[in-house]
Amino acid sequence: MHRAPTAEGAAGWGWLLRMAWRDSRRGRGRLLLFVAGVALGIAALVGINSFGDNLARSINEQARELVGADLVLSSSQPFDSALVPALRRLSPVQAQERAFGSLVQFPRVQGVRLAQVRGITGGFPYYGDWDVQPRAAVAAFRAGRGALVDDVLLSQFGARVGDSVRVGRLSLLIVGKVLHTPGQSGLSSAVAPTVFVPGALVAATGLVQRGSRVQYRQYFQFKAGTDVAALIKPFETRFDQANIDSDTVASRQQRTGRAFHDLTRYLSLVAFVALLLGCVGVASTVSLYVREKLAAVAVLRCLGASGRQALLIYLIQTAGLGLLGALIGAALGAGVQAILPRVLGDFLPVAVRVGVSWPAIATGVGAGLGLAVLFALLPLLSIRRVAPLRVLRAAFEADTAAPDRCAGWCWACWRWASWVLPTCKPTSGSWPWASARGWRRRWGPWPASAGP
Amino acid sequence: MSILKVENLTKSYPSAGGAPLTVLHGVSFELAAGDTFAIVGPSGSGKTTLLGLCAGLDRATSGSVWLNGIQLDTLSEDQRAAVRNQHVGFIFQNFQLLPTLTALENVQVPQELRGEKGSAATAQALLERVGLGKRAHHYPAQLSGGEQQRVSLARAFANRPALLFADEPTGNLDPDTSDTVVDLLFELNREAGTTLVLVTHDLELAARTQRTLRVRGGTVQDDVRNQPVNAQARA
Repeated sequence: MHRAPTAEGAAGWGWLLRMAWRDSRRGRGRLLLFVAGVALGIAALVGINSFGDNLARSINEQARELVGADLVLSSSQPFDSALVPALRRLSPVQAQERAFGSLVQFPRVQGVRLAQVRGITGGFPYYGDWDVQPRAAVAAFRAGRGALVDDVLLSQFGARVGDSVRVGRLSLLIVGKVLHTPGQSGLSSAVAPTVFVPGALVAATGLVQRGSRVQYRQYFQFKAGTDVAALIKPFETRFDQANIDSDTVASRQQRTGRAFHDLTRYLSLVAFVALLLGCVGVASTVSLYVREKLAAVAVLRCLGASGRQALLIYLIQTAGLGLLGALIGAALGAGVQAILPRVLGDFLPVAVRVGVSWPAIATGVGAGLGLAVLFALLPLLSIRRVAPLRVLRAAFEADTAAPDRCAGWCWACWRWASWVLPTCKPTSGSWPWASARGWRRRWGPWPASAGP
Repeated sequence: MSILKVENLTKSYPSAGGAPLTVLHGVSFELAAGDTFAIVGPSGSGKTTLLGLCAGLDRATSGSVWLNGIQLDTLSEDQRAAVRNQHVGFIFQNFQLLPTLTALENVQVPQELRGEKGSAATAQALLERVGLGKRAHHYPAQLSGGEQQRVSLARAFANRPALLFADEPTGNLDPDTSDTVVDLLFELNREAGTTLVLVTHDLELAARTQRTLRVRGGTVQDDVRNQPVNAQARA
């Protein structure tokens, strides 16, 4: 008389891994679809999140260049004469600007176009590279010998340095072409190209009159380490009364960062939805794969493998493929994020310094592996219920009337992944906590029995 | 000592009409260790159902099966799987080899499930014994039907089973190959001292066993001892 054996044989993880590898020999080509689904989703996710991280870092590093000064005051009317002496005392290094929209004309080529005219007095920009050709043109401009014109505008009309440009009643020599102005994106140059005019000559254009729509700006440069926010704090009330807006490096950094954070967050959401769709593809691929494997599972069950062992063989396979897809996706994503700054360069106000964002890659690989396993698990769970009797009767179906609690949990996790994760920014280490916040926003407090 | 005891075994399936369809009615028999035993009957008589129940592949509606002293009907599906791995070997009409595994790996699986070391050497020796030593690294699709059934034979004996269940082992083979496979089956069975339960339509094959159970309409019609000459001379 023998004792009834325990529910599972002595085969361990080594055998499970070996069987997972052996079983994958045929149909690896078909499983490429599975890998591709995960890889593409993760590539989008990693690419966008890495780009977002790089962009945020670049904005932080180049915030001063975005403004071109330590402080900019701007108003749609000339600054109050009572305020001007106090502003002069803030810093000896200042520049003034009057900006307005006007038609400009290139007499030689008879071209006319609406442009942004910026009349500048002083050394603006104080930070960043004002890319002007020829280099000496900046000095000529500051000396009041002519105008600087956006390269886009010159190219549009076939005009060149040495031609003249007419702004209102004033005709000016074009002393140089501007390739890049700190804080200005290529796109804004294309939409509203700029003609820089020496500030002293603006009055001669005859365009600034009573009722003209002009933007007045005052640029300040301070000594390094100056607390600009504290410096302008006493002026806040007077600025409000005079409708003067102040823009510091910190406030511009915050505002630009927030705008692009929202953009990358939106793009992340799109990438995440793509990943979820990829995972639905994963689920259907695995479902078909499992159907083909029923006979093999029945043989394994017949030879003595437990339901858990049979499930684990295929779960290891899908986890391995999910990991492979996630790694390929992360590599692709790292490549994509290197290309994105070139593609989006004209829309960006800063030069994005490309670097590997390890948090984005780690999050992407984790998300790829986790979602691949999660979405493969539901079809895989049916493996536990494959009846060994199928070796004798291929059409035999196991009794599936009894509810499968694991499948119930799996459905709940699917629902969680599909509804909650897209509401969160899947990047950096804060993702799980963001997920929890997303859950609370959507579903309210955690149920007592299902706390995180 | 009986190695397989079947007591009042009944198996019913729910049917669309409402009344359950009973395919086995109160079948009882007992097998001693080392016996060779054939279950014969026409198609639909319930012989494959009986084999499935005896081997622990299915659960009876009522009645009991004791396999090597273990009562199967009280065990869970996974416990019965473990019993099969420890005590039972199988040969099927359609071979049931795992298509992604080589012949050698197919033979190794029952031993690997038991956590035994040196399964490759044992499996290779078994493949040599069935004349397929040089085909060890071939996949089932690269083997003929007779060769696949010989791999299946090697696998069935790999875990040194107390009981060997064979379901129409020659059903998919031509007559010449059938003879080779059957000779090999009885030879290996005799060498290993395994109890053999054979389900077949083939009365000639059944006659090579020591005992034949004739099933018809889900009931045992007769349980006869075969002539020793048939059973032993050809085995």
